[in-house]
Amino acid sequence: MSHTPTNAGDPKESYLDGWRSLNTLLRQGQSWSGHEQNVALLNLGNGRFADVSALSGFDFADDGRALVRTDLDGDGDLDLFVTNRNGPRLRYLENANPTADDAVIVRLVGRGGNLDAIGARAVLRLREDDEQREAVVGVRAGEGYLAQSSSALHFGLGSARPVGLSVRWPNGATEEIAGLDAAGRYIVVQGSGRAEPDPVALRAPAVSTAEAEQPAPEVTVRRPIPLVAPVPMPGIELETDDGRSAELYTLLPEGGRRLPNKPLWIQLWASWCAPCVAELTEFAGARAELEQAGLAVLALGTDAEDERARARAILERLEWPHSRGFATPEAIDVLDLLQRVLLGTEERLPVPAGFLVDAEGRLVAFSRGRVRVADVVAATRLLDLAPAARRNAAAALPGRWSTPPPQTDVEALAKRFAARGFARTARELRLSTLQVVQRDSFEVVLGFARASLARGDLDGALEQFEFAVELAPGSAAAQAELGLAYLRGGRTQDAVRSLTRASELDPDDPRPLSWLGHVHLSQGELEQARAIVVRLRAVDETLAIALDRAVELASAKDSE
Amino acid sequence: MALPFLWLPLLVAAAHAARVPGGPTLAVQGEEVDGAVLPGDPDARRDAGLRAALAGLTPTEAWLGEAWNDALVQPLRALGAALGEDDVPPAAEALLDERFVVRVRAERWLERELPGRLRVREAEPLASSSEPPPKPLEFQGKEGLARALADWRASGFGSEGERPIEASVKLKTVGIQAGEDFADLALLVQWQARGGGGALHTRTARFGARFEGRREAPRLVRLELEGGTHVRAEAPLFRERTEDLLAGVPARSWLQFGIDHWRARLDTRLDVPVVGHPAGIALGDLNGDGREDLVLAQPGGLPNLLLVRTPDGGFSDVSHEAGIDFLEFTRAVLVFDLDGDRDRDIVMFMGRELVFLENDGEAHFRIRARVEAPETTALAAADFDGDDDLDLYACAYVSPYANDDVPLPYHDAENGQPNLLLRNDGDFRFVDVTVETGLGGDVPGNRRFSFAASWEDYDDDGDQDLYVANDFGRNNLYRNDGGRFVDVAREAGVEDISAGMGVSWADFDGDGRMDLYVSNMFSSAGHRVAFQRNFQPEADEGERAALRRHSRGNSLFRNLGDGTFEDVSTQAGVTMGRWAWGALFCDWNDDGRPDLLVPNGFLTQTGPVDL
Repeated sequence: MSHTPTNAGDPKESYLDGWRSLNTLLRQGQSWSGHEQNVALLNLGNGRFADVSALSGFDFADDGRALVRTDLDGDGDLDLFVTNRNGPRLRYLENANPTADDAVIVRLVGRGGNLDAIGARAVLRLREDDEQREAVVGVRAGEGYLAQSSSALHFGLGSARPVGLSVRWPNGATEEIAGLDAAGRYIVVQGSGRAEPDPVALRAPAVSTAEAEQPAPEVTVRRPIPLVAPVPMPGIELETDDGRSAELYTLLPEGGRRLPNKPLWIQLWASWCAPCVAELTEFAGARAELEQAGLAVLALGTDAEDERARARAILERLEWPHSRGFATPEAIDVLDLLQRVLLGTEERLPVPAGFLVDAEGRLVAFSRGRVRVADVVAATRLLDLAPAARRNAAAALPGRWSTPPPQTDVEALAKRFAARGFARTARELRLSTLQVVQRDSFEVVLGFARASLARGDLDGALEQFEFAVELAPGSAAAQAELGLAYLRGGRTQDAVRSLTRASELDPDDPRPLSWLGHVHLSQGELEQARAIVVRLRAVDETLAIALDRAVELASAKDSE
Repeated sequence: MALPFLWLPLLVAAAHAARVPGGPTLAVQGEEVDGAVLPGDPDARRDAGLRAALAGLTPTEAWLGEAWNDALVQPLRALGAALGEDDVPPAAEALLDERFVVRVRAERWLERELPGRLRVREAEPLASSSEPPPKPLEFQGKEGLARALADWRASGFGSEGERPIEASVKLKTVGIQAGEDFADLALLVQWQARGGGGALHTRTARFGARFEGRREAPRLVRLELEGGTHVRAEAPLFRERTEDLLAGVPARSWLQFGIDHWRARLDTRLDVPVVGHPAGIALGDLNGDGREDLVLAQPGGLPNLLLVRTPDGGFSDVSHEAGIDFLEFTRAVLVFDLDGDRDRDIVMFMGRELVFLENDGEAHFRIRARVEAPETTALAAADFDGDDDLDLYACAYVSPYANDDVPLPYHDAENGQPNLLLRNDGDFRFVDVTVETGLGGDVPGNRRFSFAASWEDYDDDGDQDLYVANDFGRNNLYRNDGGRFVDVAREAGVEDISAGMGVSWADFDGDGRMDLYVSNMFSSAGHRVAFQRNFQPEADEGERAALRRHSRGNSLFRNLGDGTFEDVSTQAGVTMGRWAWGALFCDWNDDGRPDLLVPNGFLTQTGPVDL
């Protein structure tokens, strides 16, 4: 989402921006028409309704959604279930109508595939004093919003008396029903012509005494939060304790450039944050436990440069036994956005925050707020899970699925980073797909790199060629192409190094040697170029002659 | 309270100001978490651009109503306080202009009892056909106001001598006409109190108020009172018994938590959207014991619930044994016999599909069919073709709260996904007949942002017609002509251009014909109106009228029996349902006159702002 002011003149863009702003605010936890009280309107019988919300017991300030009516307790009046967006998500409201025996309830039993006679219309004839009137009620499956009320018909009688019922069944036939002359609950089977008393007894729920023993809902404690599918941990720019720039895994004793090579718990902290220091203190004292769990731990400070002395002092005082480093503001923003995307929120990342990364650089869980050592050790069960088990672990409660577990959609994640201006992170994420999914597929990485180069993404191509070289240090082709890419980027020194290495790896391939010769030539290093000509002659006469002529031409020019 | 959308930058600023960097504690959706918020929020940087972009857009004449509305928040609070107390409090007194006059409508009170031991007193204007209406009574100044309000309070109680205690008042601005130096307000007054004997009283009336002067220091020049409607009940009409009913259901512990609780704790890829409505609920007997059971839809990561009724009046959770404890996001659920074997099956919108589950007769289910329908909201079933099985209509709603698919134009959008009519061909074959029945294809109206639908034979010709409530535009009334449909919403007078969210049918006036109630947005919609104005500043007066209509609230359409309906919403007094969702007719006091219940409210979260 971008909120650039440049498009403010375009009505459609400004409209879109409005929606985006709105959605951002909602994801920041702001309310919109929140705390609204449900409304109850009493039919006064004269064409008007009175707002009786205040008397109703229905006027909860919930985000109310679906409502259904049914006579749950069999007393003839309509009780309610209402579902809410916020908690509690379900309420049962018992009708407290003080008058009894003033309704007729009829369960219709239709024929064929329409068991509940959905679409039937029933007319109850009523007598009140000397007047006769009719009440009309229909059966529906789906009414209100996301709701299916009871299919039983409800006729409120007031002070009237029922004197007859007719039912128009869904197929159109109308049937006169005998046997209905008093308040009560009935069943009418299509074609029977009679209303029979409903034999099923309904009771009101007993008054519960279980309140005191209500179980503590453990499902609410989810620290760290397991991911439904792992995502590649984006590369972030860090600094060592003494201010040199570093990459995430190079801060670890066993880490490589791109892989931690050991499961890793990253603790984001700040020296001004008391819960952070408390968390660090606990982790400092649990070295053996964490080692036994196979975890590397990295304390990643978020303090600004001028406050790092205090952070270092805290680590010294704790005799911090794990790895350490500091996050640049950009690194913090990357981690911030990462957790926003994973939680679908626009709330700022808090400290402490934690990230559990597996040995192959995949994020499997993260936390907001303080965690305990035991939580993190327990979370190591998430490190090696099959996709189905991982999805189960991510769900709040046990259950089943109707679909296969999702694959990691790195492209979607990369797009989010790109949209927020993190182009490099986006690129690295795309690259890391290969690392995660096909990490052995050196060819795929190489192909990726070539594609990047072909579409002019030199930075991307360089990173990917570098990765290819890292994956296959013995590949002369990768070194050679990396050298060419360096050359295009004007990084001559790096190009020379790569091409040299390529020619060492595959002395029989004349091309790296030839390119190397031309690089020297372009730098005016004629002696080195002549040395290459000599070596080239042993491999490829034609290329050697071509280089030799170029060298001589340059030499002649020089002497002019 | 109604901040126009254009003032979002201010809201953004307020939101940021409310988050103190480095504060000692952090609240994750209401729960205290040991931690702190990091400084350097990138939102602040990004939103600075938005603020800059919109800074030039200051309130103009078009915004005077909103500007006055905001300026009058405190004055109306003071006025509300005056309504509840015997003396005029200083804050209210300070508002009174030297010309202040209070006018009390000349009226008489009609009193009657309604079933359910409800006593209703309605004030009717004194008027006759032969004489001009009597002049209102007038009172001047602070003493006049005190006397008029005391009379107003006492007038609802009739002859019983009951006196109110614990009174409280809410004033809501429901209409505003404003200029640079005046504002005429229509106020909805909601007053409630407990009587001495424990009875409950509520009173609803409409007042008029005129303020003049500068918005920073408004002066109350005139107040116009009417008696309104006063209802007395001996006790609340409903009593919550969720805990008792679910005492045997362990899920009651986690049903306490709202969506935001889960959003802070679950990977969002499980599908726990901020605005997603995993709220479906369906009643029907699934185990064949003659008692209705309950199916509850849940967000992703939480199991769908089947609670079966126990003979002792409670419920038992059989979701797992029944095989419906699916963890995919589920929104709508219906329970009916899908395959004609005389038990009730289940259809639900789950994941991105409609999933049809077969019942073995003892509440064990297995999936028999799936139909891809990724944007489905509400479902409604009926036998539209008269072949004795039930067919299914599915509404589609492309959520502008989830992505960049926004409704265009705002007040008449038809750029959504198509709604579906699935014909039941037996043995779990459901065939998309949307186009061949005339609902879709080249016919306009099927690609709106549909929230709800409900079937009813509104024209009494024996077949099932269909009403569809759409957000961001007009609704559909599909008349069934022998299995083919024609959208007659316009001719029938039920287009109801607004933000439709729910549909309910009943004969509210006892004339034997099915009337229609549609859930819409009430005043909160003002935001959206403003939003629209931002989008189309050149909107003409007709369009503005349509937009104002958009925020009128819920609609009641009286069936005239000739294929058309009369919009009686305003005279019936049923528009104010706030941001309404599944409003339903429900004759809760058993007098044969269907009443109305309106669940409402859009998003309640823990942030400091309410948009």
